Amino acid sequence: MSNLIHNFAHRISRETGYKDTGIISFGLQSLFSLISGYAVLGLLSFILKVFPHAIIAAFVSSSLRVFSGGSHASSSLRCTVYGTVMFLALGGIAAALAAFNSIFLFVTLTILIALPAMVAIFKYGYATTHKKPLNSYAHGRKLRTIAITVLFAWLITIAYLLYYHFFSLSSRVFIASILTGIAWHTFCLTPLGHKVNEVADKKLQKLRVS
Amino acid sequence: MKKIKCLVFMGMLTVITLLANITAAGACSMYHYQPELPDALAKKYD
Repeated sequence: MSNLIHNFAHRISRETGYKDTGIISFGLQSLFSLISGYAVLGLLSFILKVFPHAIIAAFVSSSLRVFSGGSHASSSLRCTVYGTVMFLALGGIAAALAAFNSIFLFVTLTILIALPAMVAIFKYGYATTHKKPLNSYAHGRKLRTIAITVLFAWLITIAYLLYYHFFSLSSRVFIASILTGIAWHTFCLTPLGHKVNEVADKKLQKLRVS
Repeated sequence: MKKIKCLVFMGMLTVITLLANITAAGACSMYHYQPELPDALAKKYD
């Protein structure tokens, strides 16, 4: 796959006269990872009847991940496999949660998830990864502030839905999916999350998922 | 035909470099996988 991306990057470079093929390859890899990840997740979650739950959870987790970092898989395919399995499971959890219509349960869960999420972003946010060092402290702090703002935006959305539309099932699906997405992202930020990701990555390597 | 081809490639280049910059400026890529950051972008967002 990397050869295909490399060749395509050279083709774009040749056709447009843009010399930096490294940036094109990097952009293509990111685009391919994004599209393949969501396409596979969308298809499987549709089959398993957790489509909105899994997609919303993945989107919420991604929106926070862009600004605060998190654990990584070591190849694009392993990333897609691990991410898909996890978000399908989270979709299942969100679907089960949405069946409850106790406002007390949702408020408690929101508090129990929001507080550790804030602490985790403050403590482990803008984590340096082996492939992407964030050398500038100011840049890292800026990203952390944006991550906290994004988290607050999701929490405000939850509060609005809890207050005005709690008894609609689609609202509860939305709330439960946002909560599972935030919870998963919080876990990915912690050292335990990094460790679990590492173990899963090694298992996938043993299963010859390249 | 050549002009359309050029426009298509230019459009692709725009989207790709935009995504590359978003990924480089952020802390992490949008899904789980983090491709290696090219030197040009690493210097820009250092």
